[in-house]
Amino acid sequence: MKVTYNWLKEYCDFKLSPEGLAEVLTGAGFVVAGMRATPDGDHVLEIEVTSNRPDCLGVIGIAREMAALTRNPLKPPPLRYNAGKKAVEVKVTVEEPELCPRYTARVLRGVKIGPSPAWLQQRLEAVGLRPINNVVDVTNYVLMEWSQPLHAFDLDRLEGKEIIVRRALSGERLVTIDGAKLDLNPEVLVIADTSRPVALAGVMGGRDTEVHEGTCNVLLESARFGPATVRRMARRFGLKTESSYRFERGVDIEGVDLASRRATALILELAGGEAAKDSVDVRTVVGARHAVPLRLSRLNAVLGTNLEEEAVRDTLCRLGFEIKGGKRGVLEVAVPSFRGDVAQEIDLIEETARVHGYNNIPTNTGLPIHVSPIGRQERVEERVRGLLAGCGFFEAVTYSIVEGNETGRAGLFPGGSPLRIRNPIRAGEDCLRQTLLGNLLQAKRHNQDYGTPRVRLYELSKVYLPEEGQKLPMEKTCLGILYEEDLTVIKGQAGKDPFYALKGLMEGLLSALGAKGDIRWEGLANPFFTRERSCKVNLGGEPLAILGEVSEEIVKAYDLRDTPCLAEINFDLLVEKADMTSTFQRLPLYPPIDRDVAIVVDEGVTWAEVESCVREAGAKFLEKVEFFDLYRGKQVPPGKKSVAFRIHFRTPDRTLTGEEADRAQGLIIESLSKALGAVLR
Amino acid sequence: MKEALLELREKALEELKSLRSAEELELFRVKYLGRKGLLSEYMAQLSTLPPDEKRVVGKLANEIKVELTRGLEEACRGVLQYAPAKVSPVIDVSLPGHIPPRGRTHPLVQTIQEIKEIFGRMGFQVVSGPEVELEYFNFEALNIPPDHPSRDDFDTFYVSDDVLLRSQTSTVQIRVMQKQKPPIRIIAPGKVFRPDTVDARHSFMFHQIEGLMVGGSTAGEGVNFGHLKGVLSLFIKTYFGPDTRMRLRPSFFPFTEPSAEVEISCSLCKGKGCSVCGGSGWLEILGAGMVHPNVFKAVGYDPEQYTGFAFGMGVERIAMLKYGIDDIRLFFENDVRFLAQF
Repeated sequence: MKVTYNWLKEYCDFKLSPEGLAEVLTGAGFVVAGMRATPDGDHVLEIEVTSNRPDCLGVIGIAREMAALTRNPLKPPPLRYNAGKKAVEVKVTVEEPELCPRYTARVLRGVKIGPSPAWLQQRLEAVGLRPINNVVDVTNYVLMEWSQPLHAFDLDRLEGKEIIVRRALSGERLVTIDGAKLDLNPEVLVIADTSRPVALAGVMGGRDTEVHEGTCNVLLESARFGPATVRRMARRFGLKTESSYRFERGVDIEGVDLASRRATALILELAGGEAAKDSVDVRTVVGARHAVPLRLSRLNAVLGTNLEEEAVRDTLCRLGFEIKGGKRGVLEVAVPSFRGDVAQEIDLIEETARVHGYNNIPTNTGLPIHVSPIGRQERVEERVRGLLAGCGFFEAVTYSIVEGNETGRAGLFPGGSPLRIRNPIRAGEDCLRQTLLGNLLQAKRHNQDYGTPRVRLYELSKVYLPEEGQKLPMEKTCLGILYEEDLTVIKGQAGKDPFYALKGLMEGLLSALGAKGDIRWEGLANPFFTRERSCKVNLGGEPLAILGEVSEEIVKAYDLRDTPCLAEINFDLLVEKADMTSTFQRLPLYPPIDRDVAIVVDEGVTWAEVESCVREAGAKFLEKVEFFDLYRGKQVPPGKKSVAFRIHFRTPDRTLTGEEADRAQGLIIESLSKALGAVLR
Repeated sequence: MKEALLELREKALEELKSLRSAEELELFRVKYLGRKGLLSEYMAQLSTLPPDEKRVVGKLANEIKVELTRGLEEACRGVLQYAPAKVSPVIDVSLPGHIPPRGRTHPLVQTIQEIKEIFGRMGFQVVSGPEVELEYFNFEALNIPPDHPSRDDFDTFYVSDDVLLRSQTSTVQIRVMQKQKPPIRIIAPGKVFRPDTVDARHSFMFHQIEGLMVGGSTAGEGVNFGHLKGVLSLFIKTYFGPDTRMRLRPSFFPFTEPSAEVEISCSLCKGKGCSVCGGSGWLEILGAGMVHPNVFKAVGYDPEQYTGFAFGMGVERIAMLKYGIDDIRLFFENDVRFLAQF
């Protein structure tokens, strides 16, 4: 909202420079976002008014604030005018009193339309309005002064000299002052004469009945229209006007008539003519001043201050509130009609604090001690982030809203139809993601395009899974990982296979978190991954993760030059199963005996089978079995492979003998041979 | 015998100077200090001397032994300094070492972590809430009735008539207070969504941190506006530096009253005015206020019994100010050249 310095000073004579004024207003919650000098030596201030203060969308409102802030009297302009002898002779009917609680009409006859005087034109231009003619300019001037929109009709063009506030009929049309042709319907509130709509209530007047050069008699409308109604209409027709802006925020029910009087006085002064001796006022809302009790003790308890009753009383009075006595320590505060935002005690406390100055309220750092526990989730997150950073992973943060086709591919959680946004900002980008994998691939692609061919990324974020019969989706925190080897490492190189690198990372993660439960690695069929080099992981019987090498189809779809490995992990499950408490175990007193064994088995035999066979062979003293090599080559027949591993034997109470280890090892080899057809190499 | 010993010392010290290799050093050690070396020979003869002389000469022999041992050690060090050149070639220590890979936590997450930590020390616990939320938690319970003009300030993505993507983390206040009785000290970091067209300053997804402290209204445990200022000033001085000044000006949020916009002195120009602070010398960094009684009523707290404050800040804005980042989109592109800077 724009006001000028001189205009403001007419109604409150504060001793401040324009800069000083800007500072005081900003400090009281009316941010002066800009200021410029005008050619006629005035200054225009651009003021941001919060949505709860429609009364300050006019010069008078701001002047009242200045009166309180600088402790100077408020001097509002005179509202008296000399009325003529003739009556209004206009009929006003309000068919929708809910949507139009008050409608006033004044009539001015024999006005002379012409340009406004220079001072008026300059002020309008300063606040961003175009001067039209003296009558229209006065309505705009009073709007900017009282925050009350007005409209002047050419009375002779109103059929039947009648005003009807009603809903539009289907099929009715209105051409507005700015030439837009609007098709109306019963959702729209209009001002009509006996034959047609002549204005869009509270938004804009019609062209047919506007005041023009030849206008002689004027009907001056000042009314209040319902905020929601005006808001809907302004949105529907894309018409945001100074008028609709104020009605949406609510105008003062009493100000309706005050502004009308002020405008009448100004029109008589600038355009001559004669005002009707009476006016029409159709009103359904009685603006009784409600009283709000304010307890001084409560005020000081909320603010942490020691304000005296007298100072509080003075501040509120200057803001236009009336104090009606009350008990000791309790002020009975009557709220003026223009302060629709003040309904309860806390509103008065805020008013007092605002004028007193927030920066004058003492700062209190004496808080009682309070220990905040660190949550399990937080601890796990911290450990995982540390571990991944140490392994060279950069954390990504990507958008939760994705394109429709992204969600066609399911990650860890089954896809299904995603949650869609009704009002996306870009068509097509309207789905809430159900996997992080697509976002990670996009981030990889971005890096590839900007000179980083290989990356390691992860994201710890939510996916959104709609649930049958539930309004809100299940929000699952997932850990998505995109892994690539350094440029120097070639795929398939012994011990550097990226699949096993990622699997190893996963195992490292589980062990770092002390994840409790049976871990199983199984094959996976998911279009994100190649069939041969991917797997799913179950922890304690629940799906924990999927991981593997990205399929050719995906590499193409994302236009990648490399084939990264991906993993998606159910982080909530990981948090649930994590056990990061440590317990001490006595270090063994006696040395182990280690035995390296290499066996030849069929290709189809898995390490998991070998390992469990070793464990279940019934060998005494078995402490640990560790895989160390897989070999296919000259010394191994086709269709077979050689698996090498190390077995540790130990007993806690003495040193084992070689013979004991031999016996145990023999048992194991026998069992491997029986169960898996293994041959010692 | 004393003279003989002194002569031996003289000779040995002279010889020591000429030693140039490990072999020569070893020979010297054997000759003088070895088990059958010259010094040992003299020591063996000590027993033949009268007691007085034995004491003096013994002492001298020992002193010489210590001196020669030290001298030999020193010579060793000297000789071995040259020695490696002969054994293997000198490495080029200026060649780069093998730097272990090091990733980073995302700068937005780092910012959240730092803020969390500061509030954690003041007893605030970290909580979270859903990102897809019922309209009730985003608006009604926060004293924002339907058709209220302030809903314009929180433009929102809708999933259905009453389900939306939360446009503010204040939703978590309600969820926590519904479950828990005061005293409460929480902060809730998380994602929020607003249908803004993406540009250097705007993003349809960003992060906020909400804070809430509620206490009894009686003396001693009451939480008032002065505490709000106290907690925020401690945070600001810890996070932005001890010289940072803070000021509050009245503002309007439906869920707090009195409400305040909190500004800090611009760290770039020290309050003189620059392009970052728009010439004002001050930067808006968070919104705050005393919890509105209607919000307490919505969660079933008696506003007469409890008072509290709430605040909310934009994580992107704070990170951008702290690091001087001029484009919000960088946070979501995940270019490792960007991520590696933090």
